[in-house]
Amino acid sequence: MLWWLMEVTDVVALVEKTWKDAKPDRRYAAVQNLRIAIPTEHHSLFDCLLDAKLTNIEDDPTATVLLLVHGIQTDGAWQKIVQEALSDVDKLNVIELGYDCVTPLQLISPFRSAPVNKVLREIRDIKQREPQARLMVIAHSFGSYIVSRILHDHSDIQFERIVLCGSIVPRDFRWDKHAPTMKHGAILNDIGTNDFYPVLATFGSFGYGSSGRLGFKTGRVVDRYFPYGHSTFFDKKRRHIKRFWKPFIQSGEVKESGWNTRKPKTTKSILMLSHPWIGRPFVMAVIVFLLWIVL
Amino acid sequence: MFAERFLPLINSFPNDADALRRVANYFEDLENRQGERVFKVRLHANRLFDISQAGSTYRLARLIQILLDANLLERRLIVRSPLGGGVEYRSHEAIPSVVLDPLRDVEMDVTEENLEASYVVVANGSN
Repeated sequence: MLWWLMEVTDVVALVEKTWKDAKPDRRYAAVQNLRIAIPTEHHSLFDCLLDAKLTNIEDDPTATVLLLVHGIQTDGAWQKIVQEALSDVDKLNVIELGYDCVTPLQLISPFRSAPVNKVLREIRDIKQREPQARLMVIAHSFGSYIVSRILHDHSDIQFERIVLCGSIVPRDFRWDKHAPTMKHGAILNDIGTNDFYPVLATFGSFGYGSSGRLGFKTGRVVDRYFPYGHSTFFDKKRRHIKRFWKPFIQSGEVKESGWNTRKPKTTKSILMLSHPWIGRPFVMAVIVFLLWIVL
Repeated sequence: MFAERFLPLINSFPNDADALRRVANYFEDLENRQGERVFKVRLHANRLFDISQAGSTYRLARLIQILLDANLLERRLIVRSPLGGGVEYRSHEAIPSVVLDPLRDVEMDVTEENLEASYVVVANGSN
């Protein structure tokens, strides 16, 4: 390890390893000697890690790190609302994950890897720094796509619980294959029956699906319906976070939504547009036809 | 109010906000019950771990780092003598590998067994 390239995660790992490997009566001296190998900007954290080690603190396996992944064209103002609503949950630490603004153009283009890689890097960092913590995630809109890509491409990343809302993950996503360790009822998909964005994402581009409008309809995921639009989940007046997400994060309890049985029948046009091989060609044909008329 | 000094930190460090909020609540409660005596408080790292529900060594270290950098707490390291009392230092850097035990007038090695980390509350920016 080149010392000037050392990052926080490396410092944590180095302190941990040295402490573990040294004999108890030599531990303090061994870690203290490490200081010269640590870049000065990390000295303050290094000393604090040493304090914690002196007190024999062990990572708590019941502690939870909840990751919040936002959608496009937002800085994730809702993340603060979630953090506030869950602030009284014991041993829970909420982490806001973000990335540079994704434009609608980028959303429909195939170049989407930058935000996925950014979030992946953050998750890996957290896993290295807090290896014992239970990882959970709440993802909205494009954030749901990011989570699905990470699960799809990186089998070492697993979550204990997942909440999706305004999801644009393809409806045929193989949860059985990409989240094999997750128990039944550990993946929640909150659906807004007035949400058009997942449908738009499906027929407007490739790689997305209408799971945030029609559900996954698979035994692996609990689809739950609400009379909401794309972002109504974060509306403070609805108290959705406290009523529906808090019990799930705390204990895995899935509260029933009354809308599950009262929701109106989905129209045929939405069903057609949500179908990747019907909606997309249909919309393309309409666009070509309109262009032909105009030109 | 000492606890109010946590507010800007909670806003500045969103990913540590939960732990900071819990520590702020602890001090607020203490201040409501005991007033100015809050400035006499000395906390050990394990107590801070419990109060903040940090969950991991790293998160606790981050929390301590934020509180020390913000000058809300100050570190106190004591090399304990087997006879009681000890020699106090303010940084790990300042601790030599061997310390003279004034009670026994003998030199003793500094080890994890006799070294204790604690934090005192900083009143009005100095202590």
